[in-house]
Amino acid sequence: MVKVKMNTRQRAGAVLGLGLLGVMALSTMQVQAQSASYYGLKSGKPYNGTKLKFLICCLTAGQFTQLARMTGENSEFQKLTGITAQWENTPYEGLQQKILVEATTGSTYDVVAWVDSWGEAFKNQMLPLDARIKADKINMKDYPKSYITASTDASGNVVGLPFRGHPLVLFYRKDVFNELKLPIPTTWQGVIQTAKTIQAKKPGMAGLSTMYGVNAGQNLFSWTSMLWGAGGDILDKSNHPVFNSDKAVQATQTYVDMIRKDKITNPASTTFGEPESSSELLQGRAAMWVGWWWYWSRFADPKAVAPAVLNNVGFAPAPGWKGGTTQNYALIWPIGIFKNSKHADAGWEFIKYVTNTEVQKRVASNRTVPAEADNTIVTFSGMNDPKVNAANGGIPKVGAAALRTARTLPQVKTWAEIQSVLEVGINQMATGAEVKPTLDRMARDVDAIQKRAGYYK
Amino acid sequence: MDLPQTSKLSPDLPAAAPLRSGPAAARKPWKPQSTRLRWVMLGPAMLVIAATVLYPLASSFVTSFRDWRLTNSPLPGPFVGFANYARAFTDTAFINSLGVSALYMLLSVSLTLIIGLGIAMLLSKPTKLNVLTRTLLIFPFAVAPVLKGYSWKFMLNPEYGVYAKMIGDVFHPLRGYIWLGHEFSALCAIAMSEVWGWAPLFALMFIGALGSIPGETTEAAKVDGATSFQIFRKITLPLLAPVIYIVALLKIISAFKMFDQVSIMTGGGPGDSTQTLYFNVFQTAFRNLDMGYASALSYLLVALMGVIATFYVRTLLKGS
Repeated sequence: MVKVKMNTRQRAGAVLGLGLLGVMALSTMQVQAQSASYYGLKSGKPYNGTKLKFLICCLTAGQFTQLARMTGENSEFQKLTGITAQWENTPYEGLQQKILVEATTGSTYDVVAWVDSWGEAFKNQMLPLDARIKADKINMKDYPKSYITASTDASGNVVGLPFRGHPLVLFYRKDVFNELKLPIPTTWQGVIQTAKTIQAKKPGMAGLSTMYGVNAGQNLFSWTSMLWGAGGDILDKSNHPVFNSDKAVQATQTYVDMIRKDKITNPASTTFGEPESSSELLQGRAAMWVGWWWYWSRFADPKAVAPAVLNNVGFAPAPGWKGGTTQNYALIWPIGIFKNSKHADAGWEFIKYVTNTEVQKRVASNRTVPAEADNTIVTFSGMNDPKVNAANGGIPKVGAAALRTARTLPQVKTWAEIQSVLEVGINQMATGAEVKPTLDRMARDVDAIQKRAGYYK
Repeated sequence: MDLPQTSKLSPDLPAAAPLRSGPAAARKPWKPQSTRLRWVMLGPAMLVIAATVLYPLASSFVTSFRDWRLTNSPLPGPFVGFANYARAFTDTAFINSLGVSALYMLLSVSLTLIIGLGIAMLLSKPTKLNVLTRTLLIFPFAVAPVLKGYSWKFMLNPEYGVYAKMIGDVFHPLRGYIWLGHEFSALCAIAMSEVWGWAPLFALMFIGALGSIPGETTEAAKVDGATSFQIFRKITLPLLAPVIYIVALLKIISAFKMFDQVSIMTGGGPGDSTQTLYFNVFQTAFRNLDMGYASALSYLLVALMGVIATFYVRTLLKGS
């Protein structure tokens, strides 16, 4: 062994260097430990090496793209916990069926996110999370009430945390409204009148873009807004169909008259789902559209919109009903853990991370890649955050206001069948069927469904 | 001239000739002599067939007599006898889908036969161009039904669809027509997307059949002063009748299985005007999760297809 002779100065330098290295190592460990607990995660990586399977769709949604990257291989989440998540990318149109089949036949997935109205059919296959929520002191009051309702099962157990949620928003062409000096309508009746004015003064442009096509229940979104605003409902408290009441008929007549009588929308709307209907505004063929708030980031993406539409779209809360109320549908994607998952604890860490307000704020504020920009955030504190609003033109705050009165679709296990009856019936009415007789027939069909399911005799 | 009877054994040879050694024996394919050995060798394949075909068939048949909704329980429910089958005959959705499938079948089979026969007549002469064109005829059939559905949905779009534009330019009243937004035209659009794939295949079959029609018969008819149409009606069509009958039956069976284009192009709409039988069964099973009723509907479909398949097989056997 070669002995290195050091003088005093050199020895002092070596000690100082080693000391500095030690301090840096300690502080790095402390930063890591702080980050894990900062997000409410367990420190020490107790589930290191776990690979979670997450059943979800639509990885083109900006929020999902970013979160998939943040929880995959070599991600921040993996560095904090040692866990990686593999995001499935089932097409939206097939996701409901896949979740139902997976839930009822014993799933190979650990974690799943679902659209609220689908959940009742399989919530009994999801792990109750109340004890975990309490242990980790998650503030449930920071979520809209409708989000919690949709995430709770029939016994009152919370089986999912709100993950991705949307209020309905009225998007409009700012330049058209400025040119014609039009006020922003706050009721559906106002929307119809405004649309007629726009069409009269701007031939070739549809006043409003709508969707009446049979496509995963998407033609129900605006209909429920009118139905609830007018004082009607889909099911009553004992789960009987009541959407053929006088108020419901009036609301439905208004809804279908937009295409049949008022003609303020593209005649091809009878075949439109959400993609086609949003394209009407994105490509400059319509002046208004009622849709989910997350579309706002599309209107700022030069690759997604026509030049005339780029950065030229304003927004306002979705309209209410003149003489009634403003009560729109709030769509929520709860995220939960399958009962038979072998990685329930790791799955809970994953859920805590992706629903954490700080993580969601970071995602919602990130506009570095326009195609990945997404203003979606599920907590009121996140929606009212100044940085998130600055990055998203103030739409989160508008959404927060709308969500205070929003509600969710009926939480019944027969919703898939009921939805089918409703969307087919609405499509038939949009293509010419009489409203009252069609609603009555639909009510009889739904009544038979509810009886078969044992809701009543 | 007598041809050597190579297809028959020489009467001088014994019924079971003894094995010979050497190169001749190496050319003969080996057959297991023992019956038990044959069963042992067939065993794995039969197990796979039993597991993947017979068991699901039997299981779904038993399920069709149960009340089993996955939203209630992941385990099969109680036996309810023929209640599921009886329900089908009062279920407006099923009766509607029966009508839709029947109408779709009539449209697609007749159009496929007519267009296929037309293509065959055009390409029946053995010119170089015709031979080259015939090789391209198989491509539409090779396209996946889902792709056909998406392509036709885009091509019929009233705003930017190429077919919609072409039809609108030729027939002005149809300019901007919403092909998938009206009940009958939506069904026709789905039928045409299927005809596009099948007609060329049928044309190939008809070309083969046309080639077997003796040339002397048509020449004799021409000498007697028959027009082309008369020759087609009184000679060609009757001689093609057996082939037309067989391909029609084949197409009928295929028509009742229509699902992909319905799912992609219309989702069963407008309303429920394109909800075919298969689509209805799929919705019942995988959207409503009513497995008992869906199984019963499937077996009603099997019964219907069985009747058609019986005609098909009897015709084939008669022909051979």
